[in-house]
Amino acid sequence: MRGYLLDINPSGRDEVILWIKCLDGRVVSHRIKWMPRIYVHGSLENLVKLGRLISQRYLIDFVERSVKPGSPPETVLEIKVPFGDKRRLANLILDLGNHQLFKVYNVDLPSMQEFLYQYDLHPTALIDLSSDGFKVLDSIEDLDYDLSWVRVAHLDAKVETSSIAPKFSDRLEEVVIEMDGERIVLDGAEDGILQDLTKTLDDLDIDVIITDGGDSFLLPYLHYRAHANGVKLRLGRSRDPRMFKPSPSTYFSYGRVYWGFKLRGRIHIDSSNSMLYHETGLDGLIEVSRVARIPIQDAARYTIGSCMSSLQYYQAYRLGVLIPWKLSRTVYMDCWSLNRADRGGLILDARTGVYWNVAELDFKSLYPTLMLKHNISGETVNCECCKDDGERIPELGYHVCKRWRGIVPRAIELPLRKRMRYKDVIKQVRDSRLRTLYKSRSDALKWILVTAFGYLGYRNAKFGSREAHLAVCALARDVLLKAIRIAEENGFEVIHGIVDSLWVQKDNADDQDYLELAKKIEDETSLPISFEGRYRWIAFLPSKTHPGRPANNRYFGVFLDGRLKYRGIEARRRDTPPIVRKMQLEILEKLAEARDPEQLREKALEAIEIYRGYARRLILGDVSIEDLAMTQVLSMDPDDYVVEARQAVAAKHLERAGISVVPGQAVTYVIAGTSGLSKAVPIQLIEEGSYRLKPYLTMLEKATHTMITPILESLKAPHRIYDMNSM
Amino acid sequence: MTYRQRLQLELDKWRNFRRALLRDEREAFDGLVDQVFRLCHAGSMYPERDTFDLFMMSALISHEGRLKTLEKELRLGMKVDERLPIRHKSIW
Repeated sequence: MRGYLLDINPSGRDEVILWIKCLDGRVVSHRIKWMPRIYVHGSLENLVKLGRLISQRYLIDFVERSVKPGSPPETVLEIKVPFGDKRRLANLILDLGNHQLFKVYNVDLPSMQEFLYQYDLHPTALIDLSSDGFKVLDSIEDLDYDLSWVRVAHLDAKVETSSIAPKFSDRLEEVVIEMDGERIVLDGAEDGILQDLTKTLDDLDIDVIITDGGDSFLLPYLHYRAHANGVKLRLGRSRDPRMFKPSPSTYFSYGRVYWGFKLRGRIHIDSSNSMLYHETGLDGLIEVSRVARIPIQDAARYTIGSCMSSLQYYQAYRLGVLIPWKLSRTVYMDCWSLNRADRGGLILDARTGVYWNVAELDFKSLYPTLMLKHNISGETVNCECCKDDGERIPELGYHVCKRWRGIVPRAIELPLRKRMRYKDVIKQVRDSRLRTLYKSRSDALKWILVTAFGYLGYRNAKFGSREAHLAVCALARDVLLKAIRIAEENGFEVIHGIVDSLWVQKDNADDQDYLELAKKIEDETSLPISFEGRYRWIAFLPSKTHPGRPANNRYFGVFLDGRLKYRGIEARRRDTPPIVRKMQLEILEKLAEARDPEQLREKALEAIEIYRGYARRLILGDVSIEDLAMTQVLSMDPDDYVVEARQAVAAKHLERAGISVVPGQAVTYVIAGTSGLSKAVPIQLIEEGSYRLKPYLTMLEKATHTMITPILESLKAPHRIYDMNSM
Repeated sequence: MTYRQRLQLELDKWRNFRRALLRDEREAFDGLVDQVFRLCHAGSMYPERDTFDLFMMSALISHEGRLKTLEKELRLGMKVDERLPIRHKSIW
């Protein structure tokens, strides 16, 4: 029997259930006897004693494993542990050894991942199931894998409530299931709705349920209503886990997540509790689940860092390297070496002004590529074995192992290579639906690659080290400096550079010239570089606080093909109200029409009319309240703010209305007055038309200045290397 | 600490010095500081050097660059090992 692996979950003490969607559409569950393992390292004598002690209760074995990457295997004690018992047992063993005799490993390796690693399985894998086990028929390296069998539905509910925060005691009014553009509404009596819900999900044979707030409210709420009505509700394909005992006064505090509400045999994704789903959709999420071998429901709720770690754990698992539980890695560095080493990427500030015919060249996934190419991993940088003959890191004098290939480079090779392949395919594919699919998958892999570097220096990363992190930065600086030199030697002026991107300019150079430069840099550094495009013009802006100094990453411009790019201006900021964003983008579109400096000046003057239009609408009250809403994240408890910050004021409003707000949560508000509580009123509580005019007018004005002033000024005084007008 | 942060810290030490400068002098001081900030990319590559040394070298480079620009504007070349090819009219 052939089918796709939808999900896995533990069952009882020692069983794993595989949910398989057969090719004929049936869903079957298949049980495998299996238990997670932990490993104990210590002297052989002590291990034998420990083994005798616990062998009555646990299955044990003596096996050969490496306790450190690259070190030879040693004899360790393997213990099979029932689900959910790893930590308790590990702590017990540490206590038995007085926290000195034993070290425990693989304790925080999630069990379902360990299962997938062991069987070389991955979610959505095509498998062939027979009486003597199963065989995996596809590979995580595949770019094209069939997902047409996945039946996805969106689930939402309407709650009969008088307040802005629904409570568990509020009656369920209706449930809406949306699938393939079709809407099914279940309404009527509560018990009827809930009974119908289970049946409808089964009838439609749903595999994936997507909710907005299902973890924090919807699913626990539905279960509570079922409980209150004496109805049996099942949202998965077998009994839902019982994990919630709410009281009727439990209310929905928006954006706050209590736990993940995972189903069995059916996948639940809470879009508001899944960064991966939010950023890259179901396609990106499944790609990461496959590549990193994490059950989809877990991957949806993990941070990207945890997804990336799974890639490393898999490599370690396959190599027989154990994963330490508690890290005791203190590396001391004196102040001077830290000062020398602890630097990020190179930033070459742009000289403020408007430039024409500028090309942007980006190194493709520079940091991960460097990690792969130079074998950078926690255990390879400054290793014991290659002090004399290891590869040297520029500036720092560190050395890198040449005898052992690091866990980190092994782990990032697949996502890195696969992403490049996706990018190549995207260029060739005509079908826009396929292009979007590959794009989501490649974006999801990009997230993994981005965190791969950050995690290298993270305190709790199992296979990282600070030196490795610093080594990558040093290599990246070296590469960017080399690239700058090559550009200059070929007659280009380097205008701006940030970490892995360069903006270069040469009058009259065309795409071909820039492509040749990219090729030269690629050849000399042996690192892939991409030509992002040629700007018709690009304006680099000065610092806001020090107008005489440049600011990095504050620019806007238009590519020859009409694409707009802007960074660091108001339109990019989250706390900018939509009205300001819309105006600024409209101005940018106006400016983008210019074909030469003279026209650009004219367009800049015309853009002032756009500003006037928006200001007029604001004065006449011809704006919706949503257009004025500003969103900010609370960095601390609303009562802890010393100055009366607007976000804190807005949070106080919400608290009065019975909604708790915690640090880290975003609040959306409108400015309605000058002081007190009117300073910021949450969007949920504001009345239409009650906003304060002046701050919004000032915001419009400032945003217009950002766009227009550099253009008008640059034309007044043509750009020079050292701008004398600024003195 | 990054070079930018160290530079800012160094400049904070000069606060009282700056306060005593007259307006045009203060403007010149701020102008020089701005020029030095334009060379942060180079300063950040020599972290073991004293911050003020880097400040000085950056200020000198910015002056050298601006001299070059002036020379171009005035269409004359000043070489390090030659005297200025300008006949100064003595004002005495």
